[in-house]
Amino acid sequence: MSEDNINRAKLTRLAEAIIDDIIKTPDVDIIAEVGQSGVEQARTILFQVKAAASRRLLAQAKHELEAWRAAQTSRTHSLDHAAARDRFEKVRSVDPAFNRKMMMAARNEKESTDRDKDGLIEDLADLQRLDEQDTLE
Amino acid sequence: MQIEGDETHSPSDDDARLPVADVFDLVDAISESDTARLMAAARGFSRLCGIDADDLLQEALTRALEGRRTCGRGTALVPFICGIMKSFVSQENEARKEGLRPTVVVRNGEPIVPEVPSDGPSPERATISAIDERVVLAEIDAGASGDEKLQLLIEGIYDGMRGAELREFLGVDEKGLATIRTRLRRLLKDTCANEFAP
Repeated sequence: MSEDNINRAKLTRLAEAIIDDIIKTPDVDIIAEVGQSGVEQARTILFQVKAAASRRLLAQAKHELEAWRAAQTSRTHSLDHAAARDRFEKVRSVDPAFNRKMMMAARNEKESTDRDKDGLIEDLADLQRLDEQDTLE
Repeated sequence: MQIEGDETHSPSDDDARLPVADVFDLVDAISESDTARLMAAARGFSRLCGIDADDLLQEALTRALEGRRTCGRGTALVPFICGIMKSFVSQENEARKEGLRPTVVVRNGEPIVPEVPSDGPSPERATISAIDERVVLAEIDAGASGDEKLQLLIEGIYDGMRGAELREFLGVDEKGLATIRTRLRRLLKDTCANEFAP
């Protein structure tokens, strides 16, 4: 073993002996050894560290909640849109008159059918969300 | 004695680990005597690792409360925090992390930086560490000179002796050993005070 390793081992053993000793020392003796000012100083450090750690944990939790909410909103919106598209296609398939009007509009080039469809799907998704909010309320 | 305060553990160990919320509870419920023990340990370790006692206690608590160090369920707060402070003394892991940096090799006058940093303490760090340890040990030896029992205690600890073996080596009973150990802590506290004196 090199001299550096021997020195490091000595310090480690000394540190372990200190821990062992401090844990075994009776309450009254350890308080007397550290003194009331030392105890107060340690309490202040405990309080400050705990407060700082709490603030950091709270900030982290807020950040995670905001990220979760943002992810949920995006997911809900995407689900609304897909469900509205399904409903729209069902309406078109069971309502020949409506379907015919859509096709005529496209043929007359009054409006882009895709844009019409997207607008209707958006409106349907909004209506669905409003219905769900009413139900919840 | 089992010293707690591991920095790394596998996710499967999570159930056996003390959650951070429980560490907060332990800090809330700490007694006056255990508060004194933490300060006594910080003072004892301070000189061994060259960090001011208050800073040492603060850093150890921060690591525990941020979950950077964990311990097994059922571990008391004092051995847990002491274990963290002890890790500052042995510093092998810390040195490996902090000293991890690319080593510049000069070839034909041009510096060449390897893509992968060397996995070990930097040469500067290793040199500083070795010097510090020698200085600390020399100061402890010097401080104990003239106190034969204290010198024997230190030698015994260096040789890995504990409890009954130490008592036999020193020729004292439990109370006598406690008295000499108190002198050792006082010695460390005094050398620490000299080290950090303004």
